Amino acid sequence: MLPIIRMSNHTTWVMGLKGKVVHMFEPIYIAVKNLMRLITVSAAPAVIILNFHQTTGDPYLDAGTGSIIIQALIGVLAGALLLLKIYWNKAKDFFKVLSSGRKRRGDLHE
Amino acid sequence: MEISTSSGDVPSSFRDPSGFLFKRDGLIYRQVNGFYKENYDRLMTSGLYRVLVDAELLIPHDEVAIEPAQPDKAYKIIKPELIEFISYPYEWCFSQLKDAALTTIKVQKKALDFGMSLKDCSAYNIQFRKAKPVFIDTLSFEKYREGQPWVAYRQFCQHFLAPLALMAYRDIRLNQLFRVYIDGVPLDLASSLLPFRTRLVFSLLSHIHLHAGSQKRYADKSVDTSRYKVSRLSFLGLVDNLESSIKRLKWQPRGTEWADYYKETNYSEAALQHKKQAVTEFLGRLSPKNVWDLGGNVGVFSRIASGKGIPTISFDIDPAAIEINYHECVAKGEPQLLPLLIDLTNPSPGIGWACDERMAFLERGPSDTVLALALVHHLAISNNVPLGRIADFLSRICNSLIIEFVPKSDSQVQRLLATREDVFSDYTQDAFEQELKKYFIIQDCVRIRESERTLYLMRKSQTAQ
Repeated sequence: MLPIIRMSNHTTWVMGLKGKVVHMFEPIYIAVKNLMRLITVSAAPAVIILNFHQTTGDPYLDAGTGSIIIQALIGVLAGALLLLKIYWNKAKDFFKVLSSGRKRRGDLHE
Repeated sequence: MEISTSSGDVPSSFRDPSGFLFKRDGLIYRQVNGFYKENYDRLMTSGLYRVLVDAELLIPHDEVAIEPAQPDKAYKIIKPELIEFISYPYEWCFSQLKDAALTTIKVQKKALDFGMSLKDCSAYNIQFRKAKPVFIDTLSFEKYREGQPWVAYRQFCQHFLAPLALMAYRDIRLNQLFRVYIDGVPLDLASSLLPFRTRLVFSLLSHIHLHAGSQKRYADKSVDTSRYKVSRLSFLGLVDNLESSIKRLKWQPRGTEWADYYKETNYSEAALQHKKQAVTEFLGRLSPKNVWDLGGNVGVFSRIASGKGIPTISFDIDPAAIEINYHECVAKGEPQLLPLLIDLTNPSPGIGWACDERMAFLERGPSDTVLALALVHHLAISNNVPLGRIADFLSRICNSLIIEFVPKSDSQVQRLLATREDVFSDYTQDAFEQELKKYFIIQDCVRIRESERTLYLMRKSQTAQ
């Protein structure tokens, strides 16, 4: 979190990463720009793979192969997300137990 | 109730080499083929069957010793518990389809705990039993093999994720695509119909848009798919991601609060109470085995029947009304009430192979009693259906009838006539009685207090049976 410096009632400045004081709008601008980049990068495979033509219902075409291939690709990412979720929940539980333990000790002291 | 072919096979289950349903002496059985022996035994002995049945996720069955329908292929015959009324995804509201999807995922997760996996993820494998979704295809489980992709992934996306996303992001009426596409909504179609912003949602981008693109890209290519391994973690991640994608999808009628939705009646409180009292009394006299409430809206009158312990289906054309009705069923835990979406002017036809894979609305009847309250004027005036045809239709779907006649002078009928020319000179109470009397005997009628409406109790005449 960048330190906030209040110069007046109307203007808010923040201390930049290199110690430079910058206007509040600048980090917001950078954040929005990065978000847009992220969206573009995420959507890129979609644009490459999809060409928006509908299939013609050709009876000799098989949709199953594509489903297996995409599943193998998405599965890697989904597996990583699941792992992250599991560890995130474990961390949350750990801190919950920790804080409830402190609270209990605090109650005992009182 | 299921129809059967001349051989006794139920036409909804012919695709699966693992077994099939058949009907004998009015009862439904499932033949388990030798082909499926190993998986069936694993399901039964691993403890998975017991866990799923105890959690009310899988339909219970008994193994029975009767002559198989196809003895050369048979391993066992099982008798599944009978579902009171078979319904289909194009008759479900958004939350019913969503709950069906989540039930399928729960079944899959439990199966994986026991080293098995679902090989079918069709929405037709779910039925509503005691108002809760339950998995009905006992032969859909197979041994999970590490590294193998999920064979039902495509089907899950087509039967659940794509239609739910279309209903949530584009239009609630798009569940009707199920009537055209029996194996779920094709993903390229879903991808082209969904708004662009769905490409910014990871789960929809991957499971629908990229999935559709991949299907198209590899449709005509010979690829050795055995090279594509899906680790157990990836498999679990995929199932988990599909579950959270489904959970995130929500729908609510635009600009409407649920609680304010049902306010279109013109009854005074006294009239409403009187009508409820009359319906209660008529139902008491009929003591029906089951009730269909046609045009049941949010189920106010359906609940009079279901509250008496009578299995009741509340049909309506309005997806929002069915959604509200279903939410109430879930909140109150009403096991006897099932809200379903139906357009009576175009009820569900028989679809699929030879038009009988999925039953038509009429094939699933008749019901013992039909409630047709504040319905006839909609059919006769909004849809130009002559009274004679309405009477004929009603006689084909019930044994007794509680029906309301709303005259032209009623303010609700005046609302209908305000936007159309009054060409309904035959729409009179006399003509209504004459047409209904061709099929039914009027046993009683009550004029609803503080209104111009009349409630009739009718039984089908012997000649119309």
